Amino acid sequence: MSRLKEMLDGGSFAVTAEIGPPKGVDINRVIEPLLPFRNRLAAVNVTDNQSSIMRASSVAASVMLMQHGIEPVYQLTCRDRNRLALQSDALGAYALGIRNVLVLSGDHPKVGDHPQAKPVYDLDSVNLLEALDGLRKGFDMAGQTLTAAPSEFLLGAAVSPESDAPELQLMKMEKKVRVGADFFQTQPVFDVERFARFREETASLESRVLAGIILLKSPAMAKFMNENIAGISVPQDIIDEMASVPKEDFYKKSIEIAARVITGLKGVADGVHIMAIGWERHIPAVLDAAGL
Amino acid sequence: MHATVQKKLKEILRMLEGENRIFIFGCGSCATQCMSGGRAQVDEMSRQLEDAGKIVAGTHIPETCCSQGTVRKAVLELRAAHVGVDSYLVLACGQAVHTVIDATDGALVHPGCDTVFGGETHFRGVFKEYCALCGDCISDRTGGLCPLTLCSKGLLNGPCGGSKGGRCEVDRQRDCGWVLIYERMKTLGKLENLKEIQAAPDRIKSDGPRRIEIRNGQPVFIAGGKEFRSSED
Repeated sequence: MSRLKEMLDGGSFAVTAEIGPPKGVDINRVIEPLLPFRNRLAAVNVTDNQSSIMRASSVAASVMLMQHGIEPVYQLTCRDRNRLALQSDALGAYALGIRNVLVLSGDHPKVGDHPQAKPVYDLDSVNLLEALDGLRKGFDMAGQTLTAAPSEFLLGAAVSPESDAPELQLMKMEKKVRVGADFFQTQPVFDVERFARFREETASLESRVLAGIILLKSPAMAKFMNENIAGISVPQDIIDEMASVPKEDFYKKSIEIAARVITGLKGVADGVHIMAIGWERHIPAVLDAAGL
Repeated sequence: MHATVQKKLKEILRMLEGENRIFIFGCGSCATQCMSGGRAQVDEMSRQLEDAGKIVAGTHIPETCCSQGTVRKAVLELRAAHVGVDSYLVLACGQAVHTVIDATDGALVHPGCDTVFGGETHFRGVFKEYCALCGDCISDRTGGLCPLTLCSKGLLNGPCGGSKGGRCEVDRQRDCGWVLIYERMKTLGKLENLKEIQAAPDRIKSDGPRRIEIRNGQPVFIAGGKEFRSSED
């Protein structure tokens, strides 16, 4: 059984982090910063050609995480593979020891570095979750029986509690639960009260949710995300708070803000998913400050 | 309609390299509306080819250039103009390119246009894509708005995480198809219907090349090695 599943089932506050494989074969380079505090993490997400930028494969980086004693959350998007490849990769990943899968639609190729590519999307994230749940039960999408089933898969999905189309987000989240999603990860959360309302609204789904935490690097980054990234809204008072300290102290303020949000999320979220984006070295300080 | 845009002259001249006598076909329907192969565009192309040193053996704009009977009749009627033609340039859709191959019993035919989508004439001069010609219409479940076409990713169960301010992550000028569907279903009082899970689509009916044959007065649709009849249960 995966450690993440054990923690979620046992009601422990789970902390996950995230790495993006490089555009190259030096995957260890992105794993090494996590090694000093790997025991404080339940698992680590491995992105799948994140932002549609071609990088080393998420299954390879997931296996390399395991070689370093870190449990991976293997991200699998619908963008690049049809239903044969998705099922086949999922079975292969399980055979290699991967237990946690996070299913995503995947950013459109047009926003990445290979905009000429054919967008696949043979399945959407709901269809893929259903397919993986079927594999877990021993059947593929064609109804054929598997010789051995990936019965311990833990299936994750994404939801944007702060989306500007909340009804549609909740509708899709409910579908994901119905087809077998075991847990959710969210876009970065800053407003704990708003997140708590989201948990109340979705209480009937009885799902486990890891709230997204992003380490803000600067006030400019916060403004950029507000204007350009869907599902993220950094409140003005947090941007002002970042801007109130000198540039060399941004990281300290960022740690303080992240720790404060995490502290507020205890008892509200089932854990947090920290997206440090290059600031992995600051994760221990965040956890210390949040009392984790 | 089949929406088309004319290729750049440079590309057309490259296709026609080494060929001197050219016959140009336009189309009186879609390509006329799209201004890619109507009378004015065919005449302009004719002038440009002559400027480039080609001989334009003739031009013709059938009412519909994708109908083999119509085009074959035109070829027979203008037989003299077709003698000694090196190649044909078709200022119409990709279907018309093949129609001219058939109607000329296998002549060398070049596409002068890119066929870009099957569209609605929104109003005069504006054409929009609302149907992806998938072969298995599910828009009844989404208020007549096709998610396969209107969502950049063709997602059937709701929006991705990239929808912002009602716009799509691919192009912030483009509407998020799922927000359009949501608003329409709200207006229709059918929001509940959106909660139904849409199974992974069966793409057999989009498996081309597809055809329809009328047999004994009944249309038979053939795709992916299977036959489909509306009269079947």
